Amino acid sequence: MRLTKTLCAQHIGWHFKKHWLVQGKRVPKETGAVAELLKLGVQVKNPEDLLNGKVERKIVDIVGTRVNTIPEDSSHPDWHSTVCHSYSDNNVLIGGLPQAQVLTNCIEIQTFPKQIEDVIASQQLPNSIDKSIRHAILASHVLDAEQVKLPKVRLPERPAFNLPRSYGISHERVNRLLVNKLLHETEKLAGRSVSIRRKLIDNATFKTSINKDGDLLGFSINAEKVIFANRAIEAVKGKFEGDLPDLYPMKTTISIPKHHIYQTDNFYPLRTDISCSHPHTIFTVFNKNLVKNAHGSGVTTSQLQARTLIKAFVVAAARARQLHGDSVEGALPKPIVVQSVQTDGRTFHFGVLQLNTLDLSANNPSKNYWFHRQNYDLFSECSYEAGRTHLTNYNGDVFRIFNAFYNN
Amino acid sequence: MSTRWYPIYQRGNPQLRVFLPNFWMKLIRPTEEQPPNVVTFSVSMEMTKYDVRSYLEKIYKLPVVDVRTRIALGETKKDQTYGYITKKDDVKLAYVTLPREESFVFPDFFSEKAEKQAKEEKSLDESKEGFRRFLDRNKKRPGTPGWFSI
Amino acid sequence: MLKLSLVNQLRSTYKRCLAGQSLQANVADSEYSAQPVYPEIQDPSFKARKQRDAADWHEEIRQVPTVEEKLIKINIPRYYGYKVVDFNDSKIPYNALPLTQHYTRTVLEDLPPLPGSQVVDQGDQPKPSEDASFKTVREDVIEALEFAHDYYKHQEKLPNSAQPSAVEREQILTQIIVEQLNRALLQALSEDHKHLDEVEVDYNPRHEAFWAVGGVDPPKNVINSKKGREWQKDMANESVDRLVQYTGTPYLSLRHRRQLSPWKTTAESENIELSKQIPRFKHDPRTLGYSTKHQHATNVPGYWPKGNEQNFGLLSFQSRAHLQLRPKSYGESDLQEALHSLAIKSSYAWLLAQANYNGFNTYNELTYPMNTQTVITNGREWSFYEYQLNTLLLHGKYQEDNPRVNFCRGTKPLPLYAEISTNGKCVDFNDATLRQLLNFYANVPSIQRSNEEQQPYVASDISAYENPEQRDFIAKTFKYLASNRPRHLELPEVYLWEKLYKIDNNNRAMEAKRRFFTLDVNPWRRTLDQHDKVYVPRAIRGKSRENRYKKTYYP
Repeated sequence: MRLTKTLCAQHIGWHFKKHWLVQGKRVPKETGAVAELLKLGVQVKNPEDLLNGKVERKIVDIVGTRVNTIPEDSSHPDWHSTVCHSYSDNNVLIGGLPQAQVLTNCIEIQTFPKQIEDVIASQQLPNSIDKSIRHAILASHVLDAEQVKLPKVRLPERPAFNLPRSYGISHERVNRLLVNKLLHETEKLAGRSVSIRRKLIDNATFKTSINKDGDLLGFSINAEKVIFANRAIEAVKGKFEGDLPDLYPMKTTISIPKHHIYQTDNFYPLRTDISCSHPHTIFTVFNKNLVKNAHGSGVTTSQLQARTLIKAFVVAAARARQLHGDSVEGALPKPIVVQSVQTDGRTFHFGVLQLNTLDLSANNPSKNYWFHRQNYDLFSECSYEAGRTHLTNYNGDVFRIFNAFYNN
Repeated sequence: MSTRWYPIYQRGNPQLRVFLPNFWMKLIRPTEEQPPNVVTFSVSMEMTKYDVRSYLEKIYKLPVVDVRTRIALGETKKDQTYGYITKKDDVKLAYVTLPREESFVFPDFFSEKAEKQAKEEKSLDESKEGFRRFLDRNKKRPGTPGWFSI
Repeated sequence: MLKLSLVNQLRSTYKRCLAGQSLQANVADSEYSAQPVYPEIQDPSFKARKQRDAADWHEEIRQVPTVEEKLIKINIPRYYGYKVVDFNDSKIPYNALPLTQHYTRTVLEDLPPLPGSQVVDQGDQPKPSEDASFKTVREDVIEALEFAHDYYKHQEKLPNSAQPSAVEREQILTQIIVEQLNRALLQALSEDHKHLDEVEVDYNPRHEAFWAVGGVDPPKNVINSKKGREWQKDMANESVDRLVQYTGTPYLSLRHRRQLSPWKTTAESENIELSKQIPRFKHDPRTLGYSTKHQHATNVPGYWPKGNEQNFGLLSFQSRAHLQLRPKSYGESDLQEALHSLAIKSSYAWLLAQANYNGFNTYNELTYPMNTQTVITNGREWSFYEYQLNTLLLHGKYQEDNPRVNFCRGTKPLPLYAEISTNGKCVDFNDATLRQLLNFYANVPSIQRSNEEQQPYVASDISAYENPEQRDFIAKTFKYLASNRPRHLELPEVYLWEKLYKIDNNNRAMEAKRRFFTLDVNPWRRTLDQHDKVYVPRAIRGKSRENRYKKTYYP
């Protein structure tokens, strides 16, 4: 074995480097010259200021390819020091329906108003209607020719699997077609006398903001389809009593994101002075890929129902603000009734909100009413497999309620 | 032609006025059949289709309807001696559409020259042919002088 | 092996004899006849053979029983899709009308004025009952228009981060107007016109169609390749077929169970002189500004085949928003022609796609005319077109020989109103335009054919197939083709250095020939069925080694 010879040499370059490091941090010795000069009344300047004086850079406004983004901090024009709980389409109230009730000061009544119940029980539908509805379901779920990339599918038990991406009809389009086709069938039944008094609109935006017990709540929602009527729906007769649920220890605003940048304006998609401007029914779509809980757990039935309520509330509140001015507080001169339907293409949740008061504080004796029933499934499965269409467990009740809502 | 680069537009004054941009346009013969109202140009690489349009409209007062441009890949060639590959520059081609009633025929400058050349070649061919016939005739009688005939 | 097969033959003959059949009689029955029957004498030239092969293939397509399989069959020659001219509803180049007429074999005419409007012009009053109903419709339409504008204007006040472009703005507004108007008209008219109750409404449907066009000059590479072969030199400049793929999304389309009645008789539509007069555009479509792409042939009229009864188009509302992008220098007259050509190509493509679901395609001729109505609108200006599809054969020699032509007749853009005033009222409403629109809605589709007559080339439906595996295979393959998704296997890439040093110049002659271009493989020529079969795991198939791969059912 050969022993390596010791090289008694040092790397000179390393020493030079070290030398520069040390010399670079040299502190000037205090010679007493400054004190002496000051004593003589000579002004002393710091050499740093003379050598590296601050130069004001001129900002040149260059035409770029895109507009500069406004930083989202206190320099933003919409910045407010008070925080706002901003509810938008993709938020979920973690407390579900009880939280929504407390938030909107609503008591829950687990049935529809009497006039709707009567219509559902008594309406006469032609026999062919079920066939048409089945066709409408198939036409929107299966037979439409749109082919777009669908969202990724994950297997919960094998989250790392990358399944082949499937193409098909997008969720938005399925729901748009389904609601449109159901409405088309309803209007055919109702005839011109009713449908002339209604107007339909796609993707309407509603915005409002409300103070509740010192918290500022901002709502900005989108309703995929809205029916406007030329006359407002009559307030429900009768008085309903009930208590708001107790959320303790939760706060009512939990899971609503807080923002400093917001606008508190009120927006209702139509002017007041046109004939069909009263909100009648809103249809909202629930897309589980967009509407999620903060921590990824699935949206529960109660949370879904809360969403229907909140959307109806925002529409009613925006309308109330539009009619009676932005400063309206407390009980409304005339209650506003809005029907709300939420669907994911298969499940339907119907509800009716009567907005009596905009005063949402917990100790307000007058309450708003929320009439609803449990969710209905329009069918259990609708698919196109091996060259054949399948529609199983079609439920005709859904269309009967749908029809009654339209004709209300 | 100027040697300056065409400057990127900046807002505000004073503007940098360029009077002699690096712009040139060369009329070329299209490689494929085209409608008669389409003219092909080889243009400077910096020109956009808007530049081509204003060039023709403002300088030559041509009624330009539409301009389409593309960049054609230059040909590559193998060196005969050393085998390395050379490539010609890419060129930008502009296809200028004129109003449909206009028609453009690429001028034929060299038809006379080609005719002349063809004539010359013809006479050369004829004399070649005559010599071949003479050889043919004398093929079977080697050694006889050319002037000897029956 | 050879000997064995001979033995087998002998054995089968022997068996037949044993079964009591006389060998003599059998032969006499099958092979001899009193009159000698000779096979048809066939032209052995290259061109004739090519034409025969093509005709055989078209016949094979015709024989395929179902609509889905027909489309798969057309797509089989190309794994990565055909090279197609990209016809769409959003780009119309300058001077596009001759090309559009050539590519759809269409004669363009003016739409005759309505009888009703003439009456009004002369000063006579139309019937009071008609007038009353018209008045209600008119009121409904004006209300719908005002509502749509009001809603749109109010919506624009919303502070939005992304400002939509002018094209998008027009599309949004027109979509609202068209939907409102359609709803108002369906309600107002359905009492008098019962056929509107059965109408099916498609919202932004997907319209796609594929066809082949003959009579186009060959591209340079084809000419060069033919000129390179001595025996093909004469054919170098012969026209070749171009494949065309249309893609479009109208605002709205209405479909019905029955067909509209044709407005040209068979005699009128079979006119060889007229077909010769149709303008031809022999140059490459790229010289006009069209682009090409590779894609599978798809024919989609907005829904999947056999899905429903509403198989025939009644009316479609096309967008003209993209015409805004055309430079001003194109001129007014060209805008008018662009509208014509948009109407022609969208109507032709939609009808072709519908015809496809009835078993016809660009290679198998229609047996009855088909009609549709098209409206091109931006909310204010409305152009009305009627289209009659008589023929689908445009490829190869049919460009010259086919006596049938298609017809389109249309109007200039007519304003429905002058403007919407600042207080939301409709100014100068144009009754003539509304009457024209009403006329389209009131046009009763009356023709109903028997199933054999309507679908002579469709023998079956995939849902009737017994074998679930086959049904599944056909449905999946069809959807895969029709979805325009990229192929699972991407095209092999040629790196630039390879193009320079291996393809264009042979600088690396000694390198092993492993890449596809050195092995003379053209990836574009790969056929649809050239792929690995799907492996069936042992857990599913059991222990047998025979069905290790899933069967394919290409037609």
